[in-house]
Amino acid sequence: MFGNNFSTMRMALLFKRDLIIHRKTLVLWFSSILLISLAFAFLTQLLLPPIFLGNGRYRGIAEVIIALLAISVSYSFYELDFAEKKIDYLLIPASTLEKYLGRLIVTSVGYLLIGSMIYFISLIFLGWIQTHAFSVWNEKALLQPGYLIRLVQIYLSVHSFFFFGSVYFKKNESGKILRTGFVIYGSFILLRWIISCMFSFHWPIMGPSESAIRSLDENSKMEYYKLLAATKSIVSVTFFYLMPVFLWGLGYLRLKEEEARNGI
Amino acid sequence: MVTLSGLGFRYEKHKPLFEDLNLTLAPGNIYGLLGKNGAGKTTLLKIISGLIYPERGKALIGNRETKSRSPGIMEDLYFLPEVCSLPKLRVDEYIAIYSPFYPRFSVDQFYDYLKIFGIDDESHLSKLSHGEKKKIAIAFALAASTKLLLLDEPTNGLDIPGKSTFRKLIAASFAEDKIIVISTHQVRDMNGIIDPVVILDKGRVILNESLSRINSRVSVAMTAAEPGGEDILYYESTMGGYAVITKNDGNDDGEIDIELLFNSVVGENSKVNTAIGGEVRNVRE
Repeated sequence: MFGNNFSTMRMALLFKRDLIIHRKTLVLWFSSILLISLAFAFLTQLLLPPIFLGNGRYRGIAEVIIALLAISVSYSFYELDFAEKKIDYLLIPASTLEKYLGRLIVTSVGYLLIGSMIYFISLIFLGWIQTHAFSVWNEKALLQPGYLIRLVQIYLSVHSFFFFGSVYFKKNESGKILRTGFVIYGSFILLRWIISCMFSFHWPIMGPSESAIRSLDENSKMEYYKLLAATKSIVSVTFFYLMPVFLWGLGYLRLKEEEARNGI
Repeated sequence: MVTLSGLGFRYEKHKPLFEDLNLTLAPGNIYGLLGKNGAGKTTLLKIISGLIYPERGKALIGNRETKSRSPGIMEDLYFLPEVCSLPKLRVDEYIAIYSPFYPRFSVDQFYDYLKIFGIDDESHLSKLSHGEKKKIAIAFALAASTKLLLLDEPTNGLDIPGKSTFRKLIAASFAEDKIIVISTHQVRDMNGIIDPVVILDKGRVILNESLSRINSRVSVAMTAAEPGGEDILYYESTMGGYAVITKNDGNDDGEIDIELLFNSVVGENSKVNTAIGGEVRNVRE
């Protein structure tokens, strides 16, 4: 009936197990996220000066939802923090790949879909506050494909930190997860900044010399800017696409090595 | 067949628990795993079930290493820890989500076992006592019909009828293709069930022997006066006298008390162990 190390049937059983055991917690938590998101939308409408309301992106509803989803993601492997639950979980006859991949899909794709629903409900609510009509289209800036893709990228990056952290750090040490995230994100910002400096015409230390700049014609300058943009996008792609893959992979290896070493 | 060969293991910042442990467990037996506190009984069960990885050596079920925790191994293995974690669900929900992972799980048997234990099958797991939860976990473990069943202190927390029921169920569910390993300090609860006896001491298996062989080699007698003489292998004071172990000259077909056996073999230079096996039986078959 089952394959050796990977079976969608077993993954479905794992999913069913998680859903039945955690159904109340999940409903409660996602309802809380929705309420917080609606409250946040309402308060920003009420409290922020109009200058911020001109562009919906600054309301930060999506960012709040992502932050709250990240908290849920940090509990992805909560069993590993409890001796008996950990034994129960590790002994389930399913491969590490199935256990890991199952929760990766649920917390990435599944949570993203739930987060999107909460986001759109919040936008409808926002539209209703503004116009007393049920429509999300009042906030077109918040629905631009580019912006939404960016949000997905941010969510997956944040997800990879917290998902990895839930396997790697004991007792859900959110502080350590956040510190790791800040260090990695800080390194990303620093790297982009250094690259900008190296290519900058106005940076005397790292950038090209003035004589070099004077020797460039307009076409060369254009090529130069293209190169700068390409380098920056390589760093961004690495950060937004490769780093999550790297952290997810690392998390899998960590789960594979997980042992129940408490007690002789 | 379970084979542990050249097993080495230590907990961080502790001295080695096992340095070169060898043990073979064959189907058709209910092993009693005995040892002092800290001897490593639970650790050994965890290594066999793939919950802990040995630093050296191998733990094999058949020819597959248990540390892979592959579904093929895990669906034929059930480890019941001393303290078991049951989710906050109804019994039927618990069965619905866990039993499909075990191909030979019998739902009917599970409910039969619950009935024998006197547990209401409509109970909510969060509302049960520790002992009742343990009964459900035991019923599940037996109904899973895995070829290897590892039980860590299964009778801890059970009431007196529960212990007797446990013995009956173990005997009833046992089959020749199964290996059951029961780690316990409550040896009196296991009288008449466990055979062979495996005793762990100082990181080694110091005895792995069937009771029939043990009984054929040594015999036990009770005396009022303190015994003496070269034929005395071991004695200890009991209520109203002394329990004495001597070599069996072939005339005694009595059975040795497992607690007495344990006390007699864990000491240094145990004459009883020598009489039983001729050497410390650190089996590598």
